[in-house]
Amino acid sequence: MASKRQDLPVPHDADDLALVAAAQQGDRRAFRLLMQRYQRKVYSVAYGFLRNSEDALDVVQESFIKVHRYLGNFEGNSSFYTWLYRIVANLCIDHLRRAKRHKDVEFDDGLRHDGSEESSDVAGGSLSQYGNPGDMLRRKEILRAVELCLDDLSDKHRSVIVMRELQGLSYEEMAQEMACSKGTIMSRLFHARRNMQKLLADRLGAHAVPSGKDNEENGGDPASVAKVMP
Amino acid sequence: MNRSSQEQLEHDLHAYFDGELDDATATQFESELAEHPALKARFEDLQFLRSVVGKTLESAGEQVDAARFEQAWDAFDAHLDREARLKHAVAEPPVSIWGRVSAFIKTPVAWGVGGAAAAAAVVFLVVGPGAGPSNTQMADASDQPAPNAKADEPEADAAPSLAPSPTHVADAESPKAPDAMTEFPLPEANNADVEIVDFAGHSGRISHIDGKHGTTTVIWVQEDDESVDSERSL
Repeated sequence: MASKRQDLPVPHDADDLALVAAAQQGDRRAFRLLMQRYQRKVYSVAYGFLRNSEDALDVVQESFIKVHRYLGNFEGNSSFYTWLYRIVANLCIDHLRRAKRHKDVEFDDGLRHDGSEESSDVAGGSLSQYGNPGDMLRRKEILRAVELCLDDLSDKHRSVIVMRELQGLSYEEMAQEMACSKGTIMSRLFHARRNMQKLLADRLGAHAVPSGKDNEENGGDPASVAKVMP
Repeated sequence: MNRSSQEQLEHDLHAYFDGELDDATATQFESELAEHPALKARFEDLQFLRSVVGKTLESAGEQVDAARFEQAWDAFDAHLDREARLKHAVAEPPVSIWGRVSAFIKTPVAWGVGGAAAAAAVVFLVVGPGAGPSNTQMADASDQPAPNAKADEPEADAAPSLAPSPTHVADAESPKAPDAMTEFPLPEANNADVEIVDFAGHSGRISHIDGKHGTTTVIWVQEDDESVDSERSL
């Protein structure tokens, strides 16, 4: 980045592009303002990938360094947010590769398509029956269940879930980050969501059943089970 | 609906949900959604999943203590400072050996060392090789009585003895045995300036004499057996 500083300080409420321009001129304060806007989101993404708080904070710090180093290359063709998220995804994927976790054994797409009689319906019925996530009474339980389900996913499944559901990256962008084809991303995302829905239904559905007697009376109907829940 | 078309419909559902269908295909799919309640329920499931995953991970970010981010910023600032120092060090051109020698010569230390070396060289040339005065002076002093190496006469005008002291200035080589010191010429009577001094915990006398050939000055240092008060200290 150039070392020349602007004469006037950039205001706190300046938009991202103004802060980027100032930071590209060497304004360290502007850079800090810019990154502080997104540091918690960066952490959220990293935590989604890595499922470890300390690792996620390491990625946050690495993202500061990498963004600062390559900010001169940012031309404004996309939003700074999107550009930042791609850097963070890249850092997280590198982190996972270095860690060499061993949860990818199921990650052969062919096995998923080999004449399985698996129904496309999620076990236990629709997920939306388990309540509105905005409802504070259910919120904590649902969020906890999601945490556990994310832990159960493989690194690749979890990566596509985070990149798509949290970061909003396109299939093309995800394919570039994971060094695979767009078709592979589509297939991977399809199965990741299916696994996630099944895991979530199992966890929420298990909590949703108040007693065996009630379940018998209702014939095990998931829709009616939801009515029993407070 | 056969299995393959069912799978295709599932994939289209996901692509539609993610905004990856082109406009024409998306419009067609919307009519499918309207006609198939089961398909619409699955679309709502995808919305639910996205909602809870987003809320879960955002909640994790909100719970992090601000101090942890400040630590990351401190580490980042330290990293930038380190990079700046490295960049500065690399930017400076390497100094040649002659440049370093030239810079050293300009320092006071160099002048002090050079001056001492020059003085020692002068003394060496005058006194000659060996532990004492030059051969010329030895010849000149040959008619002088041999000094008593262990003389402890306190008289200022007496011929000073040449005790083998490590502080003997005229001794350009390693200290010799007391007997060798007897070769050195003694100053003539009333021809030597003698001062009593303390040096490095010892005391003694400095006497200097003009040589027969010009303004050459030879300095003897005699160490007293016992320390005495002196006019000045070295």
